[in-house]
Amino acid sequence: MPEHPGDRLSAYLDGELEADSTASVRAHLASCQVCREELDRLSHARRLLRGMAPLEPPPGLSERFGARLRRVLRRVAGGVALAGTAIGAALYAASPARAVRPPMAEVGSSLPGLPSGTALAEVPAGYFAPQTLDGMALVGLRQVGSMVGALYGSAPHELLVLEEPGQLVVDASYPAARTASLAGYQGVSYGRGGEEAFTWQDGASVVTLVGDPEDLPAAARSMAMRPRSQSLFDRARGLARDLVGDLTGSP
Amino acid sequence: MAGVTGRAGTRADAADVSPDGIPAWEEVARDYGRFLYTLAFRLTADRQDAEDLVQETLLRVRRGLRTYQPGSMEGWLTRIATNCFIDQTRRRPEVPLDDDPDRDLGAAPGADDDLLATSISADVQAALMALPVEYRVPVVLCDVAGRSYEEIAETLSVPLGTVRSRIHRGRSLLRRALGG
Repeated sequence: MPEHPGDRLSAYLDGELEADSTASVRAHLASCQVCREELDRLSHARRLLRGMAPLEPPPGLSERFGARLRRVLRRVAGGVALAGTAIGAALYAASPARAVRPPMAEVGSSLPGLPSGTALAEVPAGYFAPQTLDGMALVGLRQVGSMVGALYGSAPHELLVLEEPGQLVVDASYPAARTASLAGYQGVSYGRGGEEAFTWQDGASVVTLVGDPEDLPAAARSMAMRPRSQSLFDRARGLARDLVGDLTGSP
Repeated sequence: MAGVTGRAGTRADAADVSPDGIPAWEEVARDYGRFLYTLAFRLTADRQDAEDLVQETLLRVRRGLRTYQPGSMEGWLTRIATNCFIDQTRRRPEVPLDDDPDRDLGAAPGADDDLLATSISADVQAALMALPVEYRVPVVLCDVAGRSYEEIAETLSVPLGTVRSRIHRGRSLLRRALGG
């Protein structure tokens, strides 16, 4: 007599055994009451599980989600559905936005200067640092975490631009920060040691200009020419590549 | 199956255009919302967790639709939902059943009109939640989502023999929990 089938009983119930194993289990069951009773118990559990009725999702679940996603996409992509980057934009929108505080820590006494970090040879994808800003040439690039710093000009006229993806958060730890408007941007400004810093939310990034108060307005106007959709496109493309590869099936 | 293959997108929103017969994600959300929510609730036994799981799954579905190979939509969705669930349990260690007063168990919204059916479902759901996750998931994938052992093995990246023994053990434990 074949030995007791053990966990093959469940597979037998589910029709997951091959023909010869199925026949073998059936033959065993014909003459083994212990296994017949075990089969009954398994079969009962299986029936109960399969008998549970489908559930109705809470009303409006997909609609709420769809509406939320559309709102986020509109805000991030400026209402433009970029061909080929729809997935990328959704990916970017779906990642929780990092809170970014005005980088006052980088506004040190030896200003303006690049934050200490990795020196870069070129502007990373998704960031915007033009070759010239308000007539001043780009002389240095650094990366610290997700923040990129670009230094323009030469002493005594220097400008620092800091860019970091995320949502601008200004809280009580910046008592000296005051809301300000510059070149059409609404942001916060704060001064220290003769330099002025102005931080604002620009699309999906937080941008900060640091330099002589007289230089900032023109510099901000130059930044207004920043190709916003371009940086989103690049960023989205990179993200899409990583995330779609990651999502389709790996546990 | 509605919306799976050969149906061009009908949405005006360019983000949802489907040139290759890939369904728009909103169709997926609408047509499979009940399937996804049921699967999620059977795995989590909590309305809020199930809703979070469905939303996370739909997000990943939206991202992954471009690489979807038309075939079994339920199989594909099950796989994504299971991965989301596993990630969810890793982020948040399971609270033992008795210790979590917020766990919204048996009174699940359902198509059950029959009070007896509802209470049976509640009992089975409670017994499911008493199963360790490594038994609960294969049992739910088999008996709620209707997946084959092979699909379950692929989804969980375990051998077929492991799927078989976990389903077997899971059902035995369930039966015992229900007083069998």
